[in-house]
Amino acid sequence: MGYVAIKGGETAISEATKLLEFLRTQNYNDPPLSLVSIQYQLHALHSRVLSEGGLYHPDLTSLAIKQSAGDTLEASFYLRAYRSTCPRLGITPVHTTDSMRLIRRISAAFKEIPGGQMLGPTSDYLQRLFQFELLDESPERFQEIAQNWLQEIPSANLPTSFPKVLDSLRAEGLLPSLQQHPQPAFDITRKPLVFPVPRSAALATMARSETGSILGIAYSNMRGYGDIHPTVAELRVGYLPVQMPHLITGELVEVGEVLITECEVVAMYEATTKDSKPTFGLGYGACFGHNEVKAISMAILDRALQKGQQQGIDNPSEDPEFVLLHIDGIESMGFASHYKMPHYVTFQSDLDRLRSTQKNKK
Amino acid sequence: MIQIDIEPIWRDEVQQQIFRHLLSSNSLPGSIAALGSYIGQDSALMGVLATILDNTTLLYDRDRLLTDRNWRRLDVREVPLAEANFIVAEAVIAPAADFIPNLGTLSSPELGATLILLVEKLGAGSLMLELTGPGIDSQRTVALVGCDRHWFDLRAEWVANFPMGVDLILVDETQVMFLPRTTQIAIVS
Repeated sequence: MGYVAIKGGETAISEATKLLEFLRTQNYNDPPLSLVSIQYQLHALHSRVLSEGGLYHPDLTSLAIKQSAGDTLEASFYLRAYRSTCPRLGITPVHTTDSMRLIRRISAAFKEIPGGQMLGPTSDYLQRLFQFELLDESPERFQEIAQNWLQEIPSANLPTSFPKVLDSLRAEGLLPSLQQHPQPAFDITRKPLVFPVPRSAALATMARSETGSILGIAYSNMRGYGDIHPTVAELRVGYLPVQMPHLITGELVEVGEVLITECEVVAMYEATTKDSKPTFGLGYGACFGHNEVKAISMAILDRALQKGQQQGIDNPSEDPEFVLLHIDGIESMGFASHYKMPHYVTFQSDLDRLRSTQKNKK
Repeated sequence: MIQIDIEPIWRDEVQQQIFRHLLSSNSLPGSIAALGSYIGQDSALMGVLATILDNTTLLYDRDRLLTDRNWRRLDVREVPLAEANFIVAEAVIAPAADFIPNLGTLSSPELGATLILLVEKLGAGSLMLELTGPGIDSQRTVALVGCDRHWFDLRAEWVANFPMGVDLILVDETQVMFLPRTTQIAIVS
């Protein structure tokens, strides 16, 4: 039996695209999804794509979700592709998150933390029971929820920025002191990862990694293929003011703010040198949007990778090559999808070899 | 609120439109894209440069086609010919014998330069090119005026060792045409 190449490519591709659009619009009596609805009503999905796409552009993130019909991998791909066409206007200085306008900050290390715990918007305490009333939510009820909440805001101005939990641990000498002159960050968008890579390359790769992938590898460490045993010193969600040097004066000016989730874990104490005092090790995670699972997973893997570098690799999650090359959604999705592409020649070769092997066996 | 008037070519949405045209022209070598409706009072050359250059790219401007203001706005670094990844020149002035752009290397052919030549007119004129290669259904003929033929002799040498070579963008006042290194060019007349 011979294999025949598929014909009619261009027309078939064009019709397939039309069909995909029909799939999205087939329930045409419904209003089309607005970008604002996606950003606010599907904020968890929006946050995920925002961070995996590696471009802080809330409007285009909504468009990417709409265009990809909610496929997070495809949506992130749109953002990455768009990002590659944008000019570089400059590089920001190193930012600390002290000045973040917080909407949530908690610590699992201490009950009482400077400034107090602030739960903010969280699903942590929900029983996972359906709210069946949402099945038929009226616009009036929808408005009412927001209006009621706004009316209940206390008139006193509450603080929105808080001291960091790690600062108090550092002041007590329980954490290593901060490096005063950090190395310039490795740019993963311009340079390929050639191992060994600096920590900044690992952090940048994890910051735009696919949530499920990074969670999976971090989970392996949590379950026992690793011994980090982290404690979340602080998890914060909020808006970080971004500063850039002014193009003419060179002075730092605030150009906007980005919603980020940041997680700092402390884990495994050790001495950096033979004579030094032992201190906790620190794992750091941060990503665009509100995505706590991703930030925690990143912080654990950051600590695991440091352990692997310092004491040798005992588990997959401590191996930078294993971790960093398998957590990118666009790359892994691309590899998986390429198997759908024609492999007629290679498969024909496989067939030929199998047939001749079978023939020789007779 | 302070409002600042920015010429169209420096606006993000216009640069995206020009980028789409460049992408399409690159896929269909020899097709001519009209940029007139996007670029306002600026030239297609500046529209293309504003779209593809930034402060990480290296430019060589042989014939001083860019004004000081444009250099500042592009925020691009000026370098000698051999180092440049983008080169602009007036096509009517023939390249000198020692004009050798960066051709990239076998392991990094993407380092080959992009040569942007300003011609008088695309789509009409006495110089006829016959194009074949990827993205061209059998062959395409394009006419232009205001381009020294020697550019195409040298270009044939530069792209001889594919995948090394240079990519060529031709622009006139309002239009652009892409001739990637994969395109074979024969001068018909």
